[in-house]
Formats: sequence, structure tokens, C-alpha cells
Amino acid sequence: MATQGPIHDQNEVLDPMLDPRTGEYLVIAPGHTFKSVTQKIAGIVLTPNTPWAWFGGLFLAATVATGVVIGITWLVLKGVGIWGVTIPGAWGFAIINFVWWIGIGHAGTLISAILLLFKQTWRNSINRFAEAMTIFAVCCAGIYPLLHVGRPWLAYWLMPYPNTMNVWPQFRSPLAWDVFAVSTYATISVVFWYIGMIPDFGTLRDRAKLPLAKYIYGILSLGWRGSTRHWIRYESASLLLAGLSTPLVLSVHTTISFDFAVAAMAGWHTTIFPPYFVAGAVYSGFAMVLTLAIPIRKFYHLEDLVTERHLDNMAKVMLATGSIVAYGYGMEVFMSWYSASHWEFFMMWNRMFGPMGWGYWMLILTNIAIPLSTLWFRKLRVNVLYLFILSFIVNIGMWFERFVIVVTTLYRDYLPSSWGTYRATKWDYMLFIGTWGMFTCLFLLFARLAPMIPMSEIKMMLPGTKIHPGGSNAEEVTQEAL
Amino acid sequence: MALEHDNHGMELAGNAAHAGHGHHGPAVLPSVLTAPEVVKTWRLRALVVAVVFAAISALFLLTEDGRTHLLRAYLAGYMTCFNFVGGSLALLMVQYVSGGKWGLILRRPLEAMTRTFPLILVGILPILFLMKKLYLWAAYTTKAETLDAYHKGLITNEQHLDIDYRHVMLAPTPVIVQTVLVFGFISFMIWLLNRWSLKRDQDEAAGTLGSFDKWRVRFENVSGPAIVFYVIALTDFVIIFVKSLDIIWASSVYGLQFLVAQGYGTLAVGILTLILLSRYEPMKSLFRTTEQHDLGKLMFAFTMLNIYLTFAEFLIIWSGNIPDEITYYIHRIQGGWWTICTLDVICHWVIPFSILLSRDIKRSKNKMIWVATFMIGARMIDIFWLIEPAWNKTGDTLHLIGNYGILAYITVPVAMIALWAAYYLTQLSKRPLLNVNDPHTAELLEPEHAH
Amino acid sequence: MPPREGVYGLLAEFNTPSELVHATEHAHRAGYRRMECYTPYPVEEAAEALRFHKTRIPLMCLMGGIMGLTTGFLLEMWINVWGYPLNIRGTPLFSWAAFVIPEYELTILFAGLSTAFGMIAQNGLPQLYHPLFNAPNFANGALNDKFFLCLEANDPRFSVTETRTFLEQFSPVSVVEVDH
Repeated sequence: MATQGPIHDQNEVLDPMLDPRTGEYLVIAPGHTFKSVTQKIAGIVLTPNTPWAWFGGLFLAATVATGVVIGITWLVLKGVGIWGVTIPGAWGFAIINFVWWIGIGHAGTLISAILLLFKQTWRNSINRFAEAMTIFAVCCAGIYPLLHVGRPWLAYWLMPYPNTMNVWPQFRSPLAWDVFAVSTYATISVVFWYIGMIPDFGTLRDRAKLPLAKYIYGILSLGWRGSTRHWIRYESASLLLAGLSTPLVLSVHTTISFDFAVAAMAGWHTTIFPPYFVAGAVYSGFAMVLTLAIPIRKFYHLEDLVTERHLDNMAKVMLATGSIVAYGYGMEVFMSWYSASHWEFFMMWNRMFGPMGWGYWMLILTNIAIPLSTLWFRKLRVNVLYLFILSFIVNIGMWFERFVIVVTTLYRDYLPSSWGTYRATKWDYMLFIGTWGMFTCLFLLFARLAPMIPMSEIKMMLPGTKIHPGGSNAEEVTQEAL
Repeated sequence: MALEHDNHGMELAGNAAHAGHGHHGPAVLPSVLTAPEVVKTWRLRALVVAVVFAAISALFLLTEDGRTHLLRAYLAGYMTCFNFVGGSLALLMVQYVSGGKWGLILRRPLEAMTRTFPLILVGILPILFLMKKLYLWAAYTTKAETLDAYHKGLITNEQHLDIDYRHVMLAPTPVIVQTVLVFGFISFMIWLLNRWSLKRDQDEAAGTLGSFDKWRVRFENVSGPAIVFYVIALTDFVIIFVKSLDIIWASSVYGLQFLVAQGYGTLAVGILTLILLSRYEPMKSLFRTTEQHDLGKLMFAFTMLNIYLTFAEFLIIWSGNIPDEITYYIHRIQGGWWTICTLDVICHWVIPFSILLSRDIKRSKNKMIWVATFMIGARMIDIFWLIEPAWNKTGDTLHLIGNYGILAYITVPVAMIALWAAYYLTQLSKRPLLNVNDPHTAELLEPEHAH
Repeated sequence: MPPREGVYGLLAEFNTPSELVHATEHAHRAGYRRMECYTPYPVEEAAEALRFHKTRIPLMCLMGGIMGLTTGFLLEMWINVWGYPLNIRGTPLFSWAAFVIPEYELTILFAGLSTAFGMIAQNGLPQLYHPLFNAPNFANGALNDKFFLCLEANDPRFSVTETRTFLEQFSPVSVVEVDH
């Protein structure tokens, strides 16, 4: 049994991050043991020395986040009129940003759910902070429709509950579907995220030195003790939640696409919207995961656990979803001709060459031209700096996508006498930029206070997990030594 | 995970499976990897079915109504077979890009499916020659002809205007050009991937890291962009040959719907093949329950995607309620067609969905045979529902008495699928059933993990 | 009620999952039933050695899903068909196609919540105190890098001395007596 893997050239110097057997990138750098994983990940949370850069970042993010506080306060005092939304552009930033943020969230669910079902174990390193990203993005997204209803303090009217007015939601409206889709999505995401963290909270409880930290993590861990029977039920529940989240994430962005598609508006009423919205959401979400993962792995020295393999795979997912999005744009253009509808054709012409045509070309440039021409190259897919820059470009592109969809259809519809234009106000911008700060704040707090990478799931991928019949551990030791 | 299995990579490279494993260790790679003899028997059975059903189908030639339906049923059967071939090409490319052991074990059956493309190539000829009988745009090729047909009341004003408008794309010459382009691309990809796959195993450096790397990167680089082109080609093809049966209707998700339907059908054929083969060597020791389970999950995913796209399309068009679009569904729901529509939803989605929810069934070989067969049958209902109502006029009802020609939708597709299956089985026995020069081949021989 | 004082069980500590599974398998063959493995990550082989296969979580999920679907359907039917019927651009009051989406979301919501809470309840959590936490090596290693087998005192075959001898033949790192 002592033969080696593939025949290696003696002069060949192997990159330590490559699997010596297959030549593919390793998911976890060699040399990790159960203990080193615990130390590395729990150490980030339990260290008594919070890095100064963290405080600096939090301060900066909190400063930006005041935009949300001020923006909302002023809006509640004055009304939605302070925004640029008006007739004909009645949706404006409120819906653009809502769709943008919620789309970003979808990658988190995709990573934690779909990739779990398909046993893509590389996801284990990034699923936790991707899920956190989902939840914080949904928080940011949720602000917009609540404010856009005009009287946010009455937003609870959206829910079906018995009331003295005897008024109920109207279930043939996609806006009522949204209420159910987004609230379910938020709830299930939080539950999935928390369930995932229970064992890790247990580890933190066992390792915390401060009594307060021990106490808090102890409560959060619900007394988890790693019992095998518990683990089996836990695994079963995780898989089921993943199985439920997968269709959920599809349905959420599909429902959002229905907000547009069920209306008989040129540019909105098209059947490709559901899949292409979902793909676009995943596209922007993966870009956001890269935006977050790249600085974090650098800052906390997590290159061993978030390896080139992860970057490469995420870039590939972006390539795939970006191609679907490009196909969607192509079909829109083709159908504006094929449908033989004057209005569709005019909408597309106006989208490309009308007064706001620059938005469309920005979208094509940032969302299609730059990413889809470069991501084919493996060298660029593992180039950290390039991916970091690209992740911003794609998210700008995806913002423009929603801008183009929302604005171009609305400001020039069927009747030229009702044409107008759309211009966002400083309050629109303030709230939007503020949500970036809010998102970053929440994320920094999460990175400091909760285990960013699931320890138990990483341990499952280590060589030490191998079971040898007869219980001999001799081989085990040599493996861990490697 | 790595070290203990390394030695098997070596065995594969030297293709000498040596004895001496404890019964706990991984299985040994079978020395003969070609398909078992029994495939010939299956092929014979398929041919018998094809001949019998073709003979029955020939009876429809006797009546005018029968001849009309025969051609439409031929289109249905043709599209079903095309979906198997196109789907197998797409899936083959996807597994090269995505990796995964399900793709490795399915690779050779998929390749065999793609190599049936000559049948598809020849099969298009009757449709091209008789296109006037199927498509309005082929029946009336000039503005004068459409106007004349409108005046004679053969087509509506809307149809007349739309045919004129779309003649740039939908007329005999452009259609032939597009078909040649689409088929040219597909056959090139099939040729390339099949050729490389053989070369990969014959590589002199087989078993070395360099060889693994070279072929993986090659297949990845070709398959990635080719998937994109394939989806575009497929979209064009189904718009021309299926969607344009309803000349007024336009729906932008149509191409993706066919893509998903292809995955649905191809996976069913693939799983069926693997399970049947796994009763004999070499698949007996290669096809593990783990991979069957994964393929079952994938099939479940396609079942969900299929209803997702179909329902979303319906909901959007139903809500919009625009005459141009909703007519498509009215023809497919009213006048007795709701029975077919409901049957389609039940057989194509409800039943596979409910069955495939169960983990035990996904892992059971005997049960999955029936599920896969049922799903292939469901594809036929679906294609029938997509094609035949295109000739409905408002007020028409679905009936059988006096309309026996419609039974051709059973006999012709069955004959064609059987013929296709015979060809597929011939191709399947031409190559070893496993691609050995792949670092993951060794993993197929590992004992199965509990999870 | 298990006894609340005295010995809870004997806790053997191992360095590798293989040793744990081996010991567990033998403990089961020796007739021990009230025992449990504790590991830093799920070890399915340990569950097999404990003969613990099926959980009721999928059933809970399914029941939750059916409840959600029913809730969604009845909610929409009552509100839009009977309680507050509105004519919306001529569509039927019972517009099943439009009703699918909230039904679907509620199905997932109920199924997901019953799965999550069902799992927690079946596991008897939250349980912030457990006798095993008294063992220092358990607190230090159970969710870190060690593998534990606990043979519990309420097993009829349990005896402090014999069970200890039994466990020691698997050469564990240590065997510790755990009190309630």
C-alpha cells in the first residue's frame, strides 16, 4: 500500500497550495489540525487585543451610517417628497436600492444552501460570513419599501391581521407577495445562520476566559456539547434547511422580478425576468462576498482557510451567472424586435439611445464587457487585487441594471404626453450611502463577535477525520504531521 | 482525505489492478471497462419496439387527417430526441466545468448520447422538406402570399402582419442557414469533445500530474465558452422549429425552458442507463449509491427548475392578460386541453417531485428505474402539449372520435425514441464506460462513506 | 428522572475519531446501551456504532410544510374570496395562480421553523447545565480536538470498576469519572 500518487517529475516544484494528487487548488492549506483550526478562528473572536484598525473601520463606517439615521429622520418628518420619486418615475432609488441590496444577499443563501446540497465542501470556509452578509443586506434592503409606503409607522398594515378597518391585503398584487417573500427570507436566513453557529458558540464558550463572554456564548450555544445524537439531528436539520432555502432564494428574487414583470409595461413584462433576476442577484452577491472576503482573509491572515480555490470558484460562479445575465440582456433586445410590438421596440431604443442611454452603456460596460471578457482567464481569477477591483465594478454594474430597468421604462411609457424624467435628490444619495455604512458596521461587529468561519465544518474536511477500521491511529499521526 | 487513496491513482495510471487489498479497502478497477454483452440484447429490443411502432404509425398515412398529425407527431418525436442529444452535450460540457464525481461516471454515457447526432442531422430533413405543412411562415413566404392568405381568411390579420415582420428570420432560406449554423456548431463540439476524451485516455503521460492538468484545463477552456454558444444556438433552434408554430406569440424564456427540459430528459436517460448497466461489470463496481443519490438530486433540481420556469412564464402572461400572449395559453387550456395541461403538470412535475423528495427512493436502484422511465414518458406529454395546440383555433375542442390521427403523438415519438435508443446503445458499446485518465477516477472506487 | 446525584458516567477521551468509533462499537457489542459519543464535528460512523440512524426531523419538516401550505391557502381564500372580495382588473376572485406565491412562502416559513425548533427540542436544548461540563478535559477538548465516549451510570451493565477496565483496553488518553 506504499505507492505514491501520480508520478512527479523530480525537478518539478509543486505549489504548496496545489493538491499533489490532482493538481487542483486545495480547499484548505496543508498542515492544519483540529486544534489549529480552533485556535485560528476562535482566536479572532476571543483575543483580548482588538486590532486598532478594527476600531478605525468601525468609526468610519458608523460615521457613514449616520446618513441612514439623518435620512430616515428627515423623511419621517417631511414625507417621501424629499426623495426624487414622482410621476412618472414613481419608483426611483427606493426600488433600485431595495432590489440591489436584496440581490446582494442572495449569494449568502446560495453558498450556504445550494452548495451544501451539492456537497461543494469548499463553501465551508465562506458560508458563515456570506450568510451574515445576507442578513445585513436584507436589513438594508428592508428599509426602502418600508419608507416608500409613505407612512412607515403604518407599515404593519401590509400584514394580514384582523383589524377594525376590516381591510385586508390583496393577494393578486406582487407587492403583497413581496411582503411574504421578503419576511420569510429574512426569518429563515436568520434561523439558518443561528443554527449554523450553535456548535461554534459552544467552542467559544469553552475557550472564553472572560466570565461575561463565557456566559453570553454559553447562552447562545444553548448548552451544545457535541453529542453524536445531537449532531445527527443537527446535520439532518441543516440539510433540510438548505433544501428549503434553495427554492426560497429563487422564489424571493423571482417575486421581486414579478413586481416588474406582471405589469403590462414595455421593458418589464417579459418572461425571462425571473431566471435573469435570480442570476443577477447571485452575480452581485458573489461580487459582494469577494469584496468582503478579500480584505478579511488578508487582515486576519485567513489565507489558509479561504484559499485560491475559493477565489477561483467564486469567480467561476460569477462568470456563469454573469453569462446568464448577459443572455437575459440579449433576449430582451432580441424580443424587443421579435415581439413585433412597437412599444417594446421603442423602449429598447430609448433605453439604449434615449436621454438616459448612458446608463445602459455603463451597465453593459461594467456588468458584461469588463467581467465577462476577463474572468475566462485563470490567472485573473486568482489575482486577488484584480478580483477585489472587479467585485466593485460588478456591483456598480448590477446597480445600473436596476437603474436602467426601473427608470427607462417609467419615464417614457406609452403616452408621450406623460413623459418626464427622473432625478435623485441629495436625500436619496444620503440614505443610499448611509446603508453602505450601516452594512459595514454590522459586518465589522459580526467579524469581531462571532466565529466568521464555521469551525466544525472546516474540521470535517481535515485529513484527521478519516476513520480506520480497527481504530489504529498510527497512520493518523503521520497524516497530521504532514 | 488524500493519502490513503494515492496508491490507486497509480494503479489506474499503470492500468494494472493488483490484488492484495483487504476487504475494507477500496474496490479494484475492473480490468474490462467496455459495456457488457447484454447491451446488444437491449438494442435488439429497442429496434423491435421501433419497428413495431413505426409499422403502426404507417397506418396514419392512409388518411388525410392522419398524415397531418403524423408530421406534427414526427416533430414532437424529433424534438424529444433532439433534447436528449442537445441535453447530453450541454451536460457533458457542464460536468467538465463543474467537476464532481456524478459527471465522471456519467461522462461516457453522455458522450455516447452526443454521438447519436447523425440521427438528428438526418431527422431534420423531413421537417425541412415539409415545412410548408407545419409553419405558417413557410407556407406564405412573401408579402403578397400572406396578404392573399389573409384575404382568403386562411390567417388572421395579426398573423399576416407578424409573418411579414418576421420573414427576415423566419423564411425557408434564413431558417436553413440558421439550422446549418446551429448544427455545424453542435457537431463540431460533439466531434471535439469525443475525440479529446479518447485522446485523454491514450495520453502517453497518462497518470501524471502534467497530463491531468493539461486535459482538465483543455476541457474547461473549451466547454465554458461553448456552453454559452450552445445556449444561444439552442434558443435560436427552438424559436424556429417550435415556438414559431404560434406565430404571434413571443416569450423570452423559451430557450431556457428547453434547456432545462433537456437536462430533465437527459438525466433521466443517463440514470436509467447507469442503473441498468450497474447490474453487470464494470459498472457494478463503479456506480456507487453516492453518485446515484447525487444524480437523483440533480434530477430533482431540474424537475423544480422546469416547473419554476413554466409557472413563472404562465403567471407573468396570465397577469399581463395581453391578447397577443394570452391566446397561447387559451389554446392550451380551453377546449378540453386542460386535461392535457393538468396531466402535464401532474406527470411532469407533481409525481417526480413527490417521489424524488424521498432520500430512500433516490438511493434505491429498482425504484429509480421506474422514476426515470416515467420521466421520459412525461417528456412526451409535455412536448405534445407544447406542439399540437398550435393548430387550435378559438372554439376548437380536444376530441378523439373522428380525430384518431392524434394518436400518432403516441406511436411516432415512441418509435423514434426507440430507434434513437438503439443507436445510443450501439454508441455506448464502442468505448470503455469510464474515463480513466482523471485523478478523480480513483475516488469512485473508494468505499462509500456513510454521509 | 435520572438520578441527580452520584456518578453520571465514565468518560473516555481519545485523540482520533477512529479510536472513538472502535471503542464505541465494542462497547455496543459488550452490551452497553446508555452511552454517547462527543465529538467536535459530526462523525457519522460514531452514530452507526451507537446504532442511531433515523431522526424525526424530516417528518417535522414535512408536517410544518403541510401546515404552512394549508395556512396560506385558507388565509388567501378567506381574505380574497370570502372576507374582502375585490374585483381586480377582472381576474377571478379565486386566482389560484397568484395565490401560489404566498402559499409557497408560508410553506417554507413553517417548514423551516419547525425543522429548526424541532431539532432544538428533540435535542433537549437549551440545556445550559450538563454533568459532563464538570470534567475539565471535556470542557477543554470536546468541541475542540478531542473525541469522547461516555458510558452512563444508568446502564444496567455499568459498574465503576469493570467499566473502567473495559474502557482502558482501548488505550484512551484518560478515563474520568463524572459526577452529577
